[in-house]
Amino acid sequence: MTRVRRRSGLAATILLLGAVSARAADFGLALSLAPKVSDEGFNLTVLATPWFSALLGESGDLYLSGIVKLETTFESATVLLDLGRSQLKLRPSPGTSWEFGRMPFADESGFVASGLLDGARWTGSLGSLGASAGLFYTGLLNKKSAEIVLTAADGADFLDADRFFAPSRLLAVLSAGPRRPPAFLSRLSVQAVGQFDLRGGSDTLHSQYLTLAAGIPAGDAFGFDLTAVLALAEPSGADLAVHAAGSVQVFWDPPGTLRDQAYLGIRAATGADGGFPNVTALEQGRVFTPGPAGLASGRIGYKVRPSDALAADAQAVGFLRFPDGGPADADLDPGSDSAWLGAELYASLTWTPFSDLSVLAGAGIFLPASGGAFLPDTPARWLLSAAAVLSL
Amino acid sequence: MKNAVPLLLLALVLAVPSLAAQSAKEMDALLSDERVSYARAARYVLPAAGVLPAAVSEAEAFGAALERGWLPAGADPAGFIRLDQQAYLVMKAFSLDGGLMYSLFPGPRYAYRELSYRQYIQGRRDPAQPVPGSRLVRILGRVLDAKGGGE
Repeated sequence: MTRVRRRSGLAATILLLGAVSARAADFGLALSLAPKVSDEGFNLTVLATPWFSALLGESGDLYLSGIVKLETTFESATVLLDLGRSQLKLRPSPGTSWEFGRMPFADESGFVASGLLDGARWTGSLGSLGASAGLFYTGLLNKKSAEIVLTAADGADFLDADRFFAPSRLLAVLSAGPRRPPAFLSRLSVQAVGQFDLRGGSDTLHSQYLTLAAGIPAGDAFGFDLTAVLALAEPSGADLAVHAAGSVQVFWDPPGTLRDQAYLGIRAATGADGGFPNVTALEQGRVFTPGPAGLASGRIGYKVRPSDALAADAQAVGFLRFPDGGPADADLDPGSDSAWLGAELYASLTWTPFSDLSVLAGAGIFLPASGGAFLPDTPARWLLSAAAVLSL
Repeated sequence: MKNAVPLLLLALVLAVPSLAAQSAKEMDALLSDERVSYARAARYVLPAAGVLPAAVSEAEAFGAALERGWLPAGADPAGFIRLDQQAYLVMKAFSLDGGLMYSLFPGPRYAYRELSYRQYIQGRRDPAQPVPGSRLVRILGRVLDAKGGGE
């Protein structure tokens, strides 16, 4: 714990140094109460997020936040203290920015990594291209928030109750895309991600990813989003492995004043041994939550915002696994090679009666392929959740 | 954004016809003002909201806002108004509803949050920032635009 305090203290000190000279500042607190009932039982999450922001000079912004999280089933409880989004952003010139600290990151495809990462990021222009470059380190993140499990050693660390931090890995990210793509595209971008395992020893995994993402408009109401990812994994003591992932989504904005959208899409990720080396956990469903590796899913959904205070979303997802690989689940039949895993239905409603208060309710059910990929008599999984968020 | 100011100025003038009578010189002075004073802010916000006539003087507008408790007690008319104080002045003058916390604790803090949420206040911001005249005009333009569109 001493090491935890020392490392967290160092990060906080670095970020707070800038705040000392802040001329103008703001602060607040976001409170969230989220009960959840599912086939696994009851769970209540209480989350407090204090934050502080300040303007630094003519071009700097500082934002600091913390996380105090209580999770309880009323039989047991865990408390988590962590650093939330905390970053210094400098804008030396219009269109160019530098960010340092703990910042949100999501790769272009949604197959590689998502969440808060520690590091530095530059965003700007390279000729006619919009570009960004980042260097991130995962070893100061809370392992439960980051959920980085790429190797058996990562898995052992994740289960080690004495360990707080996520595995030490370095992510180098370079993205670029034309500011004005060709007329038949709404966007086009290329992203390269290099993941370097800093653990050392005999159980390491380095991986690299090349992503191409494009948006294709089709008339005023239709559009397509396409992503393709090629990944190379370098496990220690084994050959280089090639993996691939991709997604296609078509969306339709119905005419009329109602702000709504219908969408239909497929996503798949596979490769050697059915795996795909996604760096962070990327859940592909809301009730059934496998990662993307060895999985294909098709989804159809509809979302609508009838007023500023009300939004609703409903979707159905079907899950298939590739013959080699796929998700691990205690209820899967080890003797089955069936590809069909089951289907999920999920709907949510968000009500924002005030600008500083929002309430969300969600309900979903996963119908497993009982007697197929899943063991016979595997019951349906279900979820009822609610959340209220108040900003003070 | 270069075109935004004239457009919003136009919206302001159209929404409050009597503002058209203001001299171009006076408007130029507002737009070139890097730190709007309490009195000048009241001079433009209260007439834009229809609380006072367009021809009101800064001193009269300041007095009216102070009397209603829309400006900090003891404020110096020549003192620079902060962004959160100006947000509160706008909220009160236009009778805008705020969030839950504003309903419980009405004041500059939650007025600033409300106007930021509604995107009437945009760009790099902080509650303690001074308010340039051009920003005051933009904020008033967005409020008038929303009021006109929603009512």
